[in-house]
Amino acid sequence: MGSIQKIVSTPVKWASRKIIHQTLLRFPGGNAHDPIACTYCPEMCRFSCPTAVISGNDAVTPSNKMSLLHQESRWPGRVANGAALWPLYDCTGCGRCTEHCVYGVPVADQLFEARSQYSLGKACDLASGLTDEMDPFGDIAEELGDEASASRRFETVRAKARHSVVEHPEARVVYFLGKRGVSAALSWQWVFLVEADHPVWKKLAERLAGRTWILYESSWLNRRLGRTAQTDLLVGRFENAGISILRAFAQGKDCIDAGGETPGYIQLQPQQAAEMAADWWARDALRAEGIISMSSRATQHFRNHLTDIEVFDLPQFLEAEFQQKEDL
Amino acid sequence: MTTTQQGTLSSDISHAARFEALGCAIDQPQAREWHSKNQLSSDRLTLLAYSQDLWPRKLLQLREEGPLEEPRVDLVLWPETTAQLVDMLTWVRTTPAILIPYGAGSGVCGATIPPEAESRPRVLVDLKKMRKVRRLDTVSMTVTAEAGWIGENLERWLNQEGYTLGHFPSSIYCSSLGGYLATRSAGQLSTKYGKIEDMVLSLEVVLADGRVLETARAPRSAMGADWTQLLLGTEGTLCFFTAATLQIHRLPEKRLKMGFAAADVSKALQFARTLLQEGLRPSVLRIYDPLETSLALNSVVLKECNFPGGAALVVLFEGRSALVEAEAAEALSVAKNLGLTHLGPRLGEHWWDHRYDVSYKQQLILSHSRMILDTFELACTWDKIEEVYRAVKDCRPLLGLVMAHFSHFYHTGANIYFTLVSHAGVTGSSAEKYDAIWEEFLRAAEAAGATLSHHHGSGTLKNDWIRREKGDWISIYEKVKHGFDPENRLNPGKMGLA
Repeated sequence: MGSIQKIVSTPVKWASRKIIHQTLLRFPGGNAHDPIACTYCPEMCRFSCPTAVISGNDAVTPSNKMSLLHQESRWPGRVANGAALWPLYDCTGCGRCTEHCVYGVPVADQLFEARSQYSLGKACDLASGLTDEMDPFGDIAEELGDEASASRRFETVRAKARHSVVEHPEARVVYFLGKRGVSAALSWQWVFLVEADHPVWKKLAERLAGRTWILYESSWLNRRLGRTAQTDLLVGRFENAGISILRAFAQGKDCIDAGGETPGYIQLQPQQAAEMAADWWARDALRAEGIISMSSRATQHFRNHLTDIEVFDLPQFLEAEFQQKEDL
Repeated sequence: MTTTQQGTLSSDISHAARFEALGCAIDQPQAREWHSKNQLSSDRLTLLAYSQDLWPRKLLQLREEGPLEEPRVDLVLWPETTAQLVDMLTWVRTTPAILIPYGAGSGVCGATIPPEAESRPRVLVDLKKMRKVRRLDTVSMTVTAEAGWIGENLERWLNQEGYTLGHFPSSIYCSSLGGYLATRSAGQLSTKYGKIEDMVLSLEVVLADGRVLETARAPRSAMGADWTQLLLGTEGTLCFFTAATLQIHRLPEKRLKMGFAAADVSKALQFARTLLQEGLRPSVLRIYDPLETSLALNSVVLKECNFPGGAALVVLFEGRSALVEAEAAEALSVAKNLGLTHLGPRLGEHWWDHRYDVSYKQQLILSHSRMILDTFELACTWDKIEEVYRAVKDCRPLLGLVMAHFSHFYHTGANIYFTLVSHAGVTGSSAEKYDAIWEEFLRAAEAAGATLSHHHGSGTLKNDWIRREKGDWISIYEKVKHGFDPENRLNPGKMGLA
């Protein structure tokens, strides 16, 4: 009797499971990237979002931002009621929401795109106030809709990048200048790739060994450019050189973005960015003794706000080292 | 003013009547200063974000009726310190407004939603900017933390110091310490570490009149009533929780994961009761009834474990290695005596890696039109547990199913966690169908002798039912409420009160 039951029930169970997975356990239409995925979500990303944590404002949780997009799409005008969807702009672009989403919704990318669709009136004023020093790669101007400034700065970066490559065609150690300049101008040939037996490691060890460090790299850039494996390689090289890396904040998932490598968050929200840096250091840094930063903007930010912490600017060090020796 | 706070104090207010009742208070220099520091907002999108929590009924309404035309709150405040909260309460008392304490908005019972009949202005006080650790006492093993900490972030902070709170609700990524205190929250490891009320040494609270009080100074006291236990779980009706001193533990040296299979729920419950009553304290003990086992657990993992069918169990022990191994050996012996099948570590390991996922997958179902989904967590003593389980399972809504697991255990009883999935049918409102299902559930559980909430709280959803369960105590609670909050400003219409 038991075996007959099993013969009958097994295919029924299999079919039921298949049906449930093809219907109920998929989003309507089957598109897990639709903002509807965030509209009814309990917000697993909430704890990870630096702007949500620092501001405490539930209007800026990644989930609520995406829900606004869904609601504006399905019921046009109902939520915005004529006003700008300002929460979309309260975003450092760190990408942690994407890293933590159980459905793999590319929240950061969608919000990045949405910002060009739902303009914020005030953004243009902010963009016009940016200097070349504040926005060397044109990232912020681009995001805020100031195409002229963005293009001008981009051309400057492109020229600098080309010059470097022409000057040093055999380069094996290079560093990135910014997502826009590098990815667009050079199809991203510039990567951190220092050979394990290169003498630079000895110099780095002399400078850094004996203390514990965390390695900071922009999660946003890292994810968009697929550099995770390279960062892992770099951590391995540090360890081989006797430099202790407690944690690499490079893959988004385990770090809080401090507003360091994001489109202008430091400039636009200086106080919040400062709080993010302090919050990140207190909670996630595993009590390291210093930061090895691979982001020039983050370096500047950390030095401004983490005054007791040594911040080692790795790109600057490498640039000085290789320019000096002219042996790239 | 930054880019994030659009508009002025009054230009984008569409619920003018209530807002106007705040009168000239809104133009006072103090309020303007708070506004300039992003500590006060009347921005429409902000108010809408705070107009609902994660009560599934509200999500059904959003799905079928669209976003609210009018916000349900009129002003949001973000105090950063206890002193600032006191200043804000003093300011609010110059107006007729009610006050709704708010954590992270992940409640599932509508506890932060003001009653529709409330005519006074509704000021919501979000405590998430209060997130300092005031003291870590590694001698007494306590941490004094402010109420605005998101659970995951507080746990990570403690982990950096080598400690754990031991509180792991599945909402840990989206819920706050204040919310845990207000609802008597339970974490997945509660069988070892206790519910939040077992972890609290003392509370710092702010009363409606602005007085700041601490509830205790020692683990136990015979100096009168226990104010901590009176205030916990009152959902913001008596006071604001601004900080708590909580017991902490060293990070476990070892965590041992096991899986078992029992022929049925009855046998699995016998195993759990034996463990608890023999003095074992697994950090995790979960029993999935056969339906939830087949629908919610990973079928590939079950197959890898050679799961023979019936009810699946996940058991974890953690702490000092020698103790963990001794407890695990004892558990294996009990399981063998009761005829349970040991499945090895795989099921427990998989559960641990995916322990928060299930809560976040419920939205897959809610995003389908006409689908209803909710969870019902109750508790009862061991002598009634099978009767309660069967009573609720027998409700069987039309076009729906009810699955259950048991996940928090005590010497004297346990919690049952039901999950309902149903279709609302082709006619009528989903919300009304939702109400009808809940009515049937609650009636069945009440009749079988359970308490109607173990850790979600009562909120709006169970406001009528707490009156039934508590009976005459409600009239006494009314007097308590009047003593704490004579003007009935703090989260009115909750805890069974009108």
